[in-house]
Amino acid sequence: MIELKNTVKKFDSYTALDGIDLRIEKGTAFGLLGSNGAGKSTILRLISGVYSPESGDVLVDGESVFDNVSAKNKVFFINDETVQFGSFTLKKLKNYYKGYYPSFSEEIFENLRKKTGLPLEKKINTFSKGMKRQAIVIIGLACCTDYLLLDEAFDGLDPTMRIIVKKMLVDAMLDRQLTTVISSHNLKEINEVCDTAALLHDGKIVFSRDIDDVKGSVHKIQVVFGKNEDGSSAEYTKEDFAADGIEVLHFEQSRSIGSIIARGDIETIKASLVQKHPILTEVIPLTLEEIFIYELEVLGYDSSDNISE
Amino acid sequence: MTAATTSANKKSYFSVRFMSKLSDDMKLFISNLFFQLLCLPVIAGVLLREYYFENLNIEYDDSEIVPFIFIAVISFLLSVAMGVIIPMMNFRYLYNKSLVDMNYSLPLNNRQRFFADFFSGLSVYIIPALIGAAVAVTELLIGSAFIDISDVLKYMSEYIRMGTIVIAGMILLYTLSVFAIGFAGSTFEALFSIAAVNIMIPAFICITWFNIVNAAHFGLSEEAIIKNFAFFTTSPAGAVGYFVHSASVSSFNRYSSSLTDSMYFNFMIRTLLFTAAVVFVTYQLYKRRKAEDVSKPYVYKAFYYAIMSAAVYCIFSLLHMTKLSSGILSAFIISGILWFVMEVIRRRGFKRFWTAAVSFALTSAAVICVIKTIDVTQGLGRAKTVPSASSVTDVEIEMYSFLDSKYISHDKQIINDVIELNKELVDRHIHYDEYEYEMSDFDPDVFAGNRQHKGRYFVDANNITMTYYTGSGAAIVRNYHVPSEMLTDLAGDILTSEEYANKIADEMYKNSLRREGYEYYAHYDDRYDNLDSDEAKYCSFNINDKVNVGKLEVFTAAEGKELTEAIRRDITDMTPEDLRNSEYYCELENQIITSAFKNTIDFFEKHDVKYKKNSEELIDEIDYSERTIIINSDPEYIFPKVLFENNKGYGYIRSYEYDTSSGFIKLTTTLSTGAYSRGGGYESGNVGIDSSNKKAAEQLLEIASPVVAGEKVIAEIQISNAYLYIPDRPGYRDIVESAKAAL
Repeated sequence: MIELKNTVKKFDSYTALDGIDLRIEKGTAFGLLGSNGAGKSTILRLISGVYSPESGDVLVDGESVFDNVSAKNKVFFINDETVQFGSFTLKKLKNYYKGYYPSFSEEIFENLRKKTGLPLEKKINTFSKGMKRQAIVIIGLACCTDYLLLDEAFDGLDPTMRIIVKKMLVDAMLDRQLTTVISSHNLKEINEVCDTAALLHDGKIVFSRDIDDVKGSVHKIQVVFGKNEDGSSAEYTKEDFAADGIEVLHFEQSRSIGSIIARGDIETIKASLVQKHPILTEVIPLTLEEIFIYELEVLGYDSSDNISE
Repeated sequence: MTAATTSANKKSYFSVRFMSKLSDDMKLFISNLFFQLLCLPVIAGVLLREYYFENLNIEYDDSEIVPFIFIAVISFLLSVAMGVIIPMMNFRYLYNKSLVDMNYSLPLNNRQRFFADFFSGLSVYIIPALIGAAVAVTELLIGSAFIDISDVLKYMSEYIRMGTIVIAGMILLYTLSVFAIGFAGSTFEALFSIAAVNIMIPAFICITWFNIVNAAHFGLSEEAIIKNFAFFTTSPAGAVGYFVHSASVSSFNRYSSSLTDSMYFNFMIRTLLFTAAVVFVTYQLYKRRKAEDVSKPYVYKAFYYAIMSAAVYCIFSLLHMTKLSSGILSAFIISGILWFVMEVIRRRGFKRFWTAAVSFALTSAAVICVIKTIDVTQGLGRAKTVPSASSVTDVEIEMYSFLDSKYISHDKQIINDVIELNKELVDRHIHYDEYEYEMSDFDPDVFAGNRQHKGRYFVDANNITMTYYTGSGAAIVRNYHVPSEMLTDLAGDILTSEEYANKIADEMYKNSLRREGYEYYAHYDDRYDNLDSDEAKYCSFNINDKVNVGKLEVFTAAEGKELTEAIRRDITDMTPEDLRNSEYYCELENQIITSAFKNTIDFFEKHDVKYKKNSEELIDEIDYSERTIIINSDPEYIFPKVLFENNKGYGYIRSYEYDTSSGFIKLTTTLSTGAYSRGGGYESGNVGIDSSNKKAAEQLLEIASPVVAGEKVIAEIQISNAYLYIPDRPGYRDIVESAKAAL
């Protein structure tokens, strides 16, 4: 299990993580979501022992990970760059990591390499971006660590390769209870691979939950409101629904049709809406991406504002 | 997990990293090995070739080896430069952002990563040098089976010692490079830091010493820096300095082996301790350094400011030493330009640039304070420091005209004499007002060339350099101008000491050895070099008489040994008083032979050597055309008082600069142990010797001597190319007066 307890990480005067508490259970596929600069990569570097926290604890299986060989031995970190491997051949890179990770599996390496068709003896800087990514993922999986950390894991992969890499990860998770922590902007991929996710914003955790729970806790309801006695459309604001006890993330209305993004139990929300005498109420499923956008909007990270700027 | 397995894991991770780095550095290793194989092995090959031709007496052209020596030197320099390149490669994750995650996320702790990277790089740097040396030695050993290179092989231990000095210097260069990279977060700053550390450490030490010498202006010498272990052992430049110093010590063979050993071990221990301290500090900084610091120009700003402050200090000091009135302003402008340019580079622009101005102002103020403190304290009081006799094991004395070269003494009596003399000089300087001097009526205007004068004055400011060596081989150097009369006791003790006797006897015997057929050859012929006594058949000696006319005397090697042993016994048995009161006879290979040399005279008489000539014989052997004589009667020896003074700010050691306005002290005696010109100019014209005045000239020559040891001189005479003295003894004045009248 990976735990971050009240972890603070600063870069000079800038606070990248501000008292984070996070728990990643063994065997889960954990997605780290967040805006740019939210602290996703910082969390991965803390877990892999690259960074040391200013305060708080970063524990892997109960051990502090920074400067701790046995804890670091359980973690393999793949960052979002591949330039550092340029001078290696795949064979040399394998041998390089094989020395550090006693659990390295030649069999897994060979199987995955054959699946991807990557050449052993060619310099990695001659590979395409996607091939470089595959190469390091193969190495990471072959190291057979308990935890695999991937920063922007699917960057640069074509759709076919994405499927292959995802399958490799999923197989490893199923085969040997590999815990995967993936940070990505691609919410679709997180949605497909991860079972748990945390959303970060401004160095703080917005939520950290099972993805199904996340999806079940935020709802989009389309409502057709009745007309007033004078025939005009009834006009509502976000506050009108909040007064009824609904936690509204987003509300917009066009004539008599309103769209509400609300957090909470759907039956309770529906019951509250009855007071507004809707003609029609329809619950529309939300994607993780929509949840991400609406959650951040509440925190002031409004995409429409940013675009208009 | 048990402690044992933890330890095993740590060890194995260290070795995994070590081997991995070695593998990464293989190209550098091969390049370095290539350079090293072109260095010592090539020189060994050149040596073998030289000796091969020499063994067979084949004429050869020396210029043919020049390209090989050039290749060897260039290869060596390239190999030394690897001391910068290898650390840059091995620790490049400290200044290359893309490598940080890859290196820091590996299952290694800081200690394993640092030491594995450090030692793997060091191995890549040093092992090729050791291989190169081993190949060269093997070449020589194999070659020695076919070519006589005994001359080379007998110095093998010396070469190995010199090799270890080079290796120590290389390790220091490598370590300082790692140290410097540890402060930097980008490539430019890494390179700058390496250059800055390697330049500023020796520069700071040298400049500080020059500041002290400049401020003390009494007895300290700038040249002492080339014997300073703080300089030798803290930078590669210093190690080069020690290498040169050590090579000169070996080639001149002036120092006792125990002193040479002390110096060597002192250098090696200090260098290795300093290196270890740098490694320790580097590791502590490395441990505290954060992964995210990469891409910052300087991870520790204090380092940058320390380097820049040292640069400002050097600029201010150098311009301060010029004594120019515009020195401080110039220093301010030059260092200001340097400071602000470096700040723009460090800040990558002008962000918060006012802080650069503030930091420069503070640094300049601090530097001026330091320089002023050194000035006010007269070089931090160093001029007053005289080592205690118990701490000094050897003293090296250089006295112009008294000893033919630097004389090293291990004799406690001599060491005490030197220390007492030194204390007296310091006391005269510090308590200047407590000493009373009889002043000469010599007018400084005459000295300045503004006016003629009628007196016969000789400025007697003799230079003495004393270098004290402590048990560790560290050197304390003092240099003074003193009237020669202050050196009389010291010279007497040295010239009659057993140590001097042994040195002179051994050297004289060794230098006199000749092969058969070469007994009359001049000394510069290399066929005499390193001749062993069992190879020699003859000994030849130059004997010079009172008027410097020499003759070569040749004896068998056994007789030569007998003669030098007689000299050894004579000097050992003699007291300074015996020497002072004896009559001058001749000079045997620069050694004065007087009536006190009983055994030597017995030898001369037994072998019919003309060691004493009467004045008629002396005059006759002078070329007729040069038969002139100059008499300066009642000369007055004077010493510039300013050289004892405590309140003058000019360089004490630069005698030619001294201000004569404070007058000259009148000296009562003088000292000279050879027929040298004392300078100062003789005012009397030349007088030819002919039949009318020959008798008077002979009488004068009879009592004249090139040696005067602490006596009052009533006349100086120059005859031919010899400079002789007439001491103040009964009846001598009458002879001088009658000679003056006749001549």
